Amino acid sequence: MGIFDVAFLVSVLTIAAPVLLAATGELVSQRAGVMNVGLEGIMLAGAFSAYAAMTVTESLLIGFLGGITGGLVGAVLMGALVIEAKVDQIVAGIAIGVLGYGVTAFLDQRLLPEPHTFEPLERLAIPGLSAIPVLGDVVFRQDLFLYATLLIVAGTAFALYRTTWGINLAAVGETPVAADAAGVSVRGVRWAAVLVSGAMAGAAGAYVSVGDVGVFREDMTGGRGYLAIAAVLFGMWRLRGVVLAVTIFACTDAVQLRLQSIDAIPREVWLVAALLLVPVVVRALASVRSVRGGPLHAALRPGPAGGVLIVLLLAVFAVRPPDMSLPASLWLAMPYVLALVALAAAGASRHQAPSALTIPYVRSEA
Amino acid sequence: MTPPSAAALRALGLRLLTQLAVALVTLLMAALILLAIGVSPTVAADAFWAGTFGSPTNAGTTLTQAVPLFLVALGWIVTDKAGRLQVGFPGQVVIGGCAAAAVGLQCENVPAPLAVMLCAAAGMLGGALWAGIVAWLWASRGVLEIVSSLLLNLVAIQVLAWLVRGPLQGSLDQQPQSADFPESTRWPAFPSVPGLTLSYDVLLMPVLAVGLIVVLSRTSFGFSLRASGGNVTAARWQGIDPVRTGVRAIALSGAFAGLAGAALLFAGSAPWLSEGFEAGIGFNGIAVALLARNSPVGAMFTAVVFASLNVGGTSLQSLLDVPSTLTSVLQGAVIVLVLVAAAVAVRRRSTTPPEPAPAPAEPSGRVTAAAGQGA
Repeated sequence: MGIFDVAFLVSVLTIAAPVLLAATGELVSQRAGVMNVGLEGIMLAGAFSAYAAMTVTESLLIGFLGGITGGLVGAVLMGALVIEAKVDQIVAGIAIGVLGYGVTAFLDQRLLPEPHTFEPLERLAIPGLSAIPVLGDVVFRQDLFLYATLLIVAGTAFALYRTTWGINLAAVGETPVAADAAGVSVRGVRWAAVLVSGAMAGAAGAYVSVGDVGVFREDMTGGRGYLAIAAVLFGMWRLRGVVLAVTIFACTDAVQLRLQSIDAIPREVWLVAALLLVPVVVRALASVRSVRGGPLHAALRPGPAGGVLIVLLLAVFAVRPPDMSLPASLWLAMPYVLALVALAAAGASRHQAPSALTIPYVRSEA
Repeated sequence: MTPPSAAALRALGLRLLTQLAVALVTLLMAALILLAIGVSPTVAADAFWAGTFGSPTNAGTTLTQAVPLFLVALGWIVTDKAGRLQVGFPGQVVIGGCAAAAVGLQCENVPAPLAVMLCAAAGMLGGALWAGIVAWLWASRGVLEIVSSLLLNLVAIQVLAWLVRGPLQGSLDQQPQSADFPESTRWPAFPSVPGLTLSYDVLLMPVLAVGLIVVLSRTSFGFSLRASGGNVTAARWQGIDPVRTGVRAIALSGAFAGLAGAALLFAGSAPWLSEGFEAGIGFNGIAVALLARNSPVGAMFTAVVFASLNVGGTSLQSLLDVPSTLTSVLQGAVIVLVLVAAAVAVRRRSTTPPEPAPAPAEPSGRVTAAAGQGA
């Protein structure tokens, strides 16, 4: 299997889990019309408070509860700013980002100058299922956080699409006036959504610090919060799409980790890159086709034509890999570049964004 | 110019008063934090003053550091006036700085004034092009500028990390940084300040502040900018293309940020390109603009305040062992306080009917406008 072996798949899941949890929370918040750009700061708050709680109690459970509390504190601030004071959501998010970085780095330097290292979460083998070849090693020998994340994502899917609360949430994000008229508390639902996203981002941050590596460093979430936001947009505000987006990001990241030790890019990478781009190009073709002319006409337009060319080029590389390597830092930029390409390709379907996203709800009493 | 009315004066007074209140609350918070970590606030204030304005050399450093912050703030003001919300300043500062450094390293034998101009132009071009990606994604693909600019920030950091290890790596001991810039590219400094810490680019602050005000209020470009930031439909009826205006505004703000990147490198104390030279200027510049309520003249003063927080924070760390991240805490707190103060002010205004002052920024319509153009 070359570089795509069991260890690779395991690292994909480990990378994906915190981003997926944070993105799920962000999805809930955005469907209610609150764009929580402060996610990065909230994840940092969660990462640090989990680490602080662990330092005091040495208990992973308390650590994760501490992380969730830290996330909730950030979310309360976000909610107070955007729901109560009705300030610009994006500017408020930036403020929380700066504050989250500053406060956690300050407290870390001041309170816990000696770095502590903890045992990360141990991996649990689920009896029976873990004996399945490949699948058992990848999925059923993971840590508790991964299982919890999968459960929470499934629970969120149920809550969003199968409960009255989920319908109310979508109504508040689409037309708050109508939801208000129907007796739904816009304020209440938005608060609940922001708090849910804060708790999930806090837990995700806790996994980044104490769950996965067992230490805290300044700015250690390293853009995962922004990646989670990008996943929500790339996923078109649907949970399925978010899961897909996070998987793609995690794969890129895992490939980058593997490739740091390899000189030339192996052929599998080219092949997978080509396969990943195919749906994007097909989607671009489909969106152009609806304008005028047939698929051939569409394929000749500069955007899609470029996409087709790139896919062909990647396919050629897959057959005959060039002796080429990409510096590690440029690989690190790959998930973000990919997210940008995906957003650009998805441009035409933007109307699926909640209509009231980023717009504060002011109830007119007149 | 007509003399300002009493109501306008009162509004200005109220604004200054809220800013004073924000400053006082921040100072109080700083004092409380210092007390909590066992440092006397008066001792800290002395150290802070000595580090920022206590000597001509330190004052020069503080003022020179205010310039990049101010330039980014101008970038924010331009896009904010046009109703666009790009926050890609960190990335644009980084890419502008990289472009300026790439040009500057080739300017060994170029006469000084030309070399300085070339570096500044390269910085502006780099920043504008990087912002151009945001503008293109927004205008032709309907991607929210906030998201694309945040992602491009992360890409820019990696591009810088690659450049200082690869093509631009030039230090003799294999550190991830470039060679020192040639003397001819260094921005000149006032010779009267000991240590040559006060760069002439301080003069950019009043010049650009006045220039931007004139452009915004007296030119057709400024009018189309403000019209697109106000009511998109009304702008269309005036024959203004809000998409084209938005693209121009984003590119212009990127140019400001790119110039800030060049200023950081060529007027700073470390004349080489290294990782982390951006040092939070990009986001703090936004805070500088917010604190000045998006006024270019006010931004000159708030930029000096933020620069003195940075410089003073460093001197507190070296003299009293106070963590320098205290600066980030206070800067974050300032943004939050300004937001809250603005929200309170708007609410007060809406409860006192006789003054139908225009709301500072109308957030609604932003997303729908972009969506309408993207489809």
